[in-house]
Amino acid sequence: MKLPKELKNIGKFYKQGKNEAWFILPYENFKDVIKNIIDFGINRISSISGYDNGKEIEVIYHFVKDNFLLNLKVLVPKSLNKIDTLTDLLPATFLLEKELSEMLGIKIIGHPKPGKLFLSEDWYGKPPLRKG
Amino acid sequence: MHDLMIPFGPAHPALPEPVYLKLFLEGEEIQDVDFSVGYNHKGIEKSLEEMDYIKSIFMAGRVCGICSSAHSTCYTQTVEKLLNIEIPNRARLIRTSIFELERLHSHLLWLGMFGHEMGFDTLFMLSFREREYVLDSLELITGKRVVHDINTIGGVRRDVSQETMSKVLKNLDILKDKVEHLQNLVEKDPIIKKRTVGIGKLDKKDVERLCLVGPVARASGIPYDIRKTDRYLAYDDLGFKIVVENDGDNFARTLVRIKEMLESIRLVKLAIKSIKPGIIKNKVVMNFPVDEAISRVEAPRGELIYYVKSNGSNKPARVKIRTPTYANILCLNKILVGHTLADVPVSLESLDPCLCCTDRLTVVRNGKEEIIKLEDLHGHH
Repeated sequence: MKLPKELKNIGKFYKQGKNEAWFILPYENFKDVIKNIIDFGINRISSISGYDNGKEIEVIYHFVKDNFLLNLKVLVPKSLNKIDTLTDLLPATFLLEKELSEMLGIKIIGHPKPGKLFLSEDWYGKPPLRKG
Repeated sequence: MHDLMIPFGPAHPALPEPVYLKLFLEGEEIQDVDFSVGYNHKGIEKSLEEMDYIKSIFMAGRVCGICSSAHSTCYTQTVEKLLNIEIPNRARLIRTSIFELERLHSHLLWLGMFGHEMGFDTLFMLSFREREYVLDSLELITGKRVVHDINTIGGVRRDVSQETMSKVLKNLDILKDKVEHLQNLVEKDPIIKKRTVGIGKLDKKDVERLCLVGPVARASGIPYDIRKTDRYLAYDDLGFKIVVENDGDNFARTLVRIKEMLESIRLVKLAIKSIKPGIIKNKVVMNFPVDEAISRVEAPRGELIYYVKSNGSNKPARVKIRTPTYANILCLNKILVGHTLADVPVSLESLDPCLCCTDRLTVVRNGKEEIIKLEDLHGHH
């Protein structure tokens, strides 16, 4: 499957591979874009990756349709350190967002059950996957 | 308010691995389920960042003991994508054979455990006996029974001799009859049917909504199999056929796995027969670009996905692993609620949960912010 025409302008396109496309979505309205993508029929999320690049936290949502991987990156400024939940659109993100939150120290706004997933509840200190 | 909360686990006779379920009951019937994981946390994602690309393949293979080669193949495949390299055909077929042999051993182990949870220990004994044929074959090819370490960037580490191939083919011929016998046994046994038919039902909508993967999705009529969609390794050339059942209950999940075993035997035989003389590894220039890549495979439990980010050095900057049980554990509520407490072990096992895979990530000692470095684990400070 190739990237459908309707999805060519969802964000800043930065990489194309065989059966995959990578975009950077605007931080402010990324949830609206993802809602459109789900309505368009790409409604399976496989993973959420997070990476601390120094200035920002890169959050990548990996969507799947048949053999096509749509990777949507959102750059979360460290000064804000929060991102909206997708659990209301995609219940499958429940654990992925919890893990993202505890490992990279981002607050997930609107998560139905915030808290630790792998780490113990009384754990304190730097989020384990933050660099520096 | 619920009548009663029964804790199930983290250490429970029905669980080979630790998970903690809170079961809320009214009488014998389950009303609600809550779960917590993290008892098996090994810190693999963090330690992958501290190793160079070659060493980290061995670490990736140790995420899980049952699907070791699924992890190392997926990781290697992602790194090869970063470097934009292909592997020789012979290596592709060897990887496919190991991958499918591993699925066979995983499914046989699961069938045994599934029988054991029902109190049907004869099935456990039979299944584990037949599993030896697979482990022997894996040992013949890779030198190891469980963690195979056959992959390297650009190909495989060990070649297969003609003699080994014929021994493995012989083992598979015997195994095919044995698996058919097990299939016959499971399909006809009235007690297995009583414990599994109609219990733990998952319909298509639930599977799609919760993005479930692997045999759990395929037992509910969703033909979602990465071997079919991505056509990685040699699956396209071997004519892989997808196994789908429609009932979505514990019995359907059992049938999917048993039929997959027969398909795996066919695939391994065909893969071994089509191995042609040639090199097993391409020469690779380890010049990593600043880039990122994602790749997936169909592990025995479903879609396994690796994301690797490179910052140009000889170590990955970030590796994110999404394992199949991590995705499937979300359906616990759906399969347990409405059934009795006695169905919990069977329904839980029908997901083929692998908590070793689910819990990975960072190590913490005594709840303090201290993170164990790899050197500490090696014992030289």
